[in-house]
Amino acid sequence: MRYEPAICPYCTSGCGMYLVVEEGRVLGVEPRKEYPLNEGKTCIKGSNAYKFLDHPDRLRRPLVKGKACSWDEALSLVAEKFRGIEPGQFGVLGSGKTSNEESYLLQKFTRAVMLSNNVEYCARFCHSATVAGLGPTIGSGVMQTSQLDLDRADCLILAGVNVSENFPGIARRIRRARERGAKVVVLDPRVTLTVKNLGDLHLQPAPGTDAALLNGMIRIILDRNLHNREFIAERTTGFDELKSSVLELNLAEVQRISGVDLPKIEHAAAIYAGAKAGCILYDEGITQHVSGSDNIKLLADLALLTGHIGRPGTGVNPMRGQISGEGSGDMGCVNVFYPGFKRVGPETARHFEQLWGVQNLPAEPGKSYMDIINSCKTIYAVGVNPMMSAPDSTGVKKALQGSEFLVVQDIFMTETAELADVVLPATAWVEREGTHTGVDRRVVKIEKIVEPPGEARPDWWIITELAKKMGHGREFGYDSARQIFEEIRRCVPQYAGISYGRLEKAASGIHWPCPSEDHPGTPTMFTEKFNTSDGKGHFVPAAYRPPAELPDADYPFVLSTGRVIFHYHTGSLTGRTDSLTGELAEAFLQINPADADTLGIHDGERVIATSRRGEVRVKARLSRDVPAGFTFMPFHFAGTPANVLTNTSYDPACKMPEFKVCAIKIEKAENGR
Amino acid sequence: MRKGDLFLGTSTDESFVEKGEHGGVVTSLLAFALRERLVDGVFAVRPGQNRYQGFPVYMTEPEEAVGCAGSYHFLTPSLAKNVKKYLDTHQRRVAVVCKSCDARALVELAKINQINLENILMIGLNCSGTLAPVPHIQMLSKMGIDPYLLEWEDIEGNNLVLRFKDGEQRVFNLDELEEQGLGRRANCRRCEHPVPRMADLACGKWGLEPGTGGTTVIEVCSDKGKQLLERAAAVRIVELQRPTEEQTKRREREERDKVDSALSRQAEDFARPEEKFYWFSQMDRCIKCYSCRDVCPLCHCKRCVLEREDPQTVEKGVVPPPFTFGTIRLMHVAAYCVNCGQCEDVCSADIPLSRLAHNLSKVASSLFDYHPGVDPDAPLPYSDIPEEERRSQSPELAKPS
Repeated sequence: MRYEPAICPYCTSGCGMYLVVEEGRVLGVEPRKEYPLNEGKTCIKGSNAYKFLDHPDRLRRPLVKGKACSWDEALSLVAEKFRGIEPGQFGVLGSGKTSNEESYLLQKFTRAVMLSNNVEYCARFCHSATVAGLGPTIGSGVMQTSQLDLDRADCLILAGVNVSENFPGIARRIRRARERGAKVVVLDPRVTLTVKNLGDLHLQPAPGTDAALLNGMIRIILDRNLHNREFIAERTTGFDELKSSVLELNLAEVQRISGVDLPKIEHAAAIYAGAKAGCILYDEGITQHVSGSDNIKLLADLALLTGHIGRPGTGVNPMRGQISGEGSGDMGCVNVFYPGFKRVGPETARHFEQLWGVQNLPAEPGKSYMDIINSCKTIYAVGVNPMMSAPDSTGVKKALQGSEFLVVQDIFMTETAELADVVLPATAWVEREGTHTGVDRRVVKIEKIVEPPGEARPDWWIITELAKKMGHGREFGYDSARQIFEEIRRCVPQYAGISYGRLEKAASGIHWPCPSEDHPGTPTMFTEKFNTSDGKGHFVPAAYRPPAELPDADYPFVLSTGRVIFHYHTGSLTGRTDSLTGELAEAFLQINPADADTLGIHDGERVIATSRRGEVRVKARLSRDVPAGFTFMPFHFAGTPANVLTNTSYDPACKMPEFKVCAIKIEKAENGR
Repeated sequence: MRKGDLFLGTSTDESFVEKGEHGGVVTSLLAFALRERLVDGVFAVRPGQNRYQGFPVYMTEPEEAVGCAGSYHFLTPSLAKNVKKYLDTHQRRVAVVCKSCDARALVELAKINQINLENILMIGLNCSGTLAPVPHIQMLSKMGIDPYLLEWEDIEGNNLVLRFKDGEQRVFNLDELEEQGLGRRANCRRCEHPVPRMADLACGKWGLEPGTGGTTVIEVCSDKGKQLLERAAAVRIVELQRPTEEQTKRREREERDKVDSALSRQAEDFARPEEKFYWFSQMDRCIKCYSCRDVCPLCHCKRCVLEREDPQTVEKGVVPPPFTFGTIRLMHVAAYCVNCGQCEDVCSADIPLSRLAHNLSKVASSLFDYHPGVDPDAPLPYSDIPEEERRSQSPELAKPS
């Protein structure tokens, strides 16, 4: 037996762990007590993270139309089908779980081989609103503080983020801040575990009314002169615009729209503005709305207004939810960004033509995630499962079935892979070497600890071989992840100073930007200036807009979707982990007992939830944690897929679908079974 | 040589003397046991990149033993649990380097047939307590000291002494540290077994004049320990001499001080008036990670009652779980808990679990007059019903004879 260090593959809290390995198999997870982030502690997902590795369902051989074949056959077919495709008709969907090296190669393949900017990853569904909201205000859609510094905050606003279930590692740090006297304000329509465990003040807005509430807070801070004049004068522009935008605001109207009592909003505004170090953490509860980007602009406005940004433990911080949730974006798996957030355009294209020694790189923005699904004839999906994660699964299935050629590269036969013409078996987690960049821009290294099953290959190897088959061996002459990382250092200035050697020695990774080998990394962003053209923070006003689909007589309930602590995203890994399915193997519909009573539904009975897009039979879980008229369902379960119900309406600024609000009706299934 | 005898030992192997903390005796004995095939392997903690990192390793070559030499206060994996989980001691004979919490857990595990104690040689280390690494890494960083330059640390009397690679030495008063939540782990502060007499040998520095290097004080605790020491001494792997009376007395005093301080800490920890309400609110934070169970050296059920489907003991798929989730587990180990502190170390919700578990085990201890891990021959509390109790009409439990 031997102990090998690893980082948890799940939520991006980045917990360290030891894997106990014997004869090429991982036998268990053991505490890594010296790891600064989690001190040996893990949640139930982490403790069982090794179990999917040698699950019998692992893909072991390439499949063409369901039949096993050799790598050469499969890749030759894919190369043949990809060759000569019109760039606009080709689309790539990437992942937040692949390594930085793999994500980097995936976008390079799309751009340099397929000459298309149609490359996206799952962040479209979690933080596209962040990019659209923080871009104009502070210039960068990233977490600004190190998670280790969160206990320096004396007021934390948790906006639409259920940290206690979805980021248990970070929740612990917030708890410690609270023990030192920090006040925690939670914005959530539900009474989540976060509210129960961490909340000092719970603002429970009606779904999708965050913008009204946040404008109210801005107005209250201004009315009471609680804003930070010095900071505003020195480091921001656009204050007057913000001021005039809330001048007309009627606070009684804010209370009416949001359903939150004004004194509570006043209290929240006062403690945040009065804090020494105020910190906003937010996630999908506030981004997954047609007004998602506006919500984020208003959060940024709040931080700029009070000066709670640019110091350790402050900022307006998006919580990316995958081990490389940040990294795949850094690497340019985004239709509008080349690596290092170089915005797509002629100048950027020329820059990368030089770096990569290629020609004709695309200079126009590509299609975004849902447009790729809906309109590309050929789709290459890597480590991504839109059949479970995209809104309106029935529509997604129709679109993918209608595509001419679908290649899925994954570790299991996911619901999306089942629709594929070609399935390519990839390696997982500690079956290959590479780096990941998690929530707080922390670059960490993963070592190869065990061999992959069967003929599964690293994603970088597959992409490289495919590029070679398509005649691009010169630009894709890689034989190791290390070699790819060296190229990343040359192409992504934020990573220039990070090397495998440094990462192997670092206690818990290195925060980008890290411009040179002797640079310690940057735990805190924007200490001097923002990432905007003039270096200032820009106040950008935004008005409240209601959600796209609200309840009516036919569909009288609001449905909101989300996650639970026992599972991870589309369930392809956690759904194959006995300890986790033993806790929860199917979804539930959380419903207020008063509503259930009206409908004649008892706890645990099966109901039929129907939206304008489809229906799901799911067990009711009666709970006062959701208000009347509101329901919640986790989206991890293929047998009870919440996204059959969700709405495809999106935020026009970023094409973020409104997962958090759609209208449903609920009936008791026959006999409740 | 007899059980209870005390020796001053030194190693004759220069390379071990240099690496070993107090004379390289432990390392020499391990290498000797391997070389002479007295054991198939040695199980110990090997340090990693720095003083805070270390992991259990199973070694079969005598030369490997030197890699584990030294005394590390920040390395706290449960060797006992690792032995149970990853080494089949029914198939192989293993020397385990253990602190008293490991040794006591091994003794208990043998009683429930999880390991074969006959195949285990316990080389015990006296222990004045261990420290959680991260809080001290952070403390040093905040003081502007690079924590990763730490070269050596020790607990001397009531002080934590840290020596750094740049030659600097820092001394911290443990009471002061512990008041800020630093210093020794809470369970260590309550530990009344600083000398692991349930092991085969108990090795340490207590009794020596301060500053004495090159020597280890060895107490013979079992026949197995006696045989090993005799054989090693016969071929002059270690040289033994009797301690002076003064040294013996000093060792007794140092041990008694540790025990006294542990007992008064127990009294303090277990006598808080707010306890009942306190524990309810603590357990409310549980996120059902099962880490307390997973890491407990004594939890051993193949099918854990906490996960049972039919009938369901604890409601599934909800957090926080019902209060019973924590209490069922605690009750299952109450009679055997050895206060190793692992459950508290890994608790995702920062619940001070070992305080509760240790408290319960003390209650069980007083009911059954059973002291977990101390005597391999003492029958488990529920397994032995004294004759007088069988005949008794009183509801009170009789003490086992």
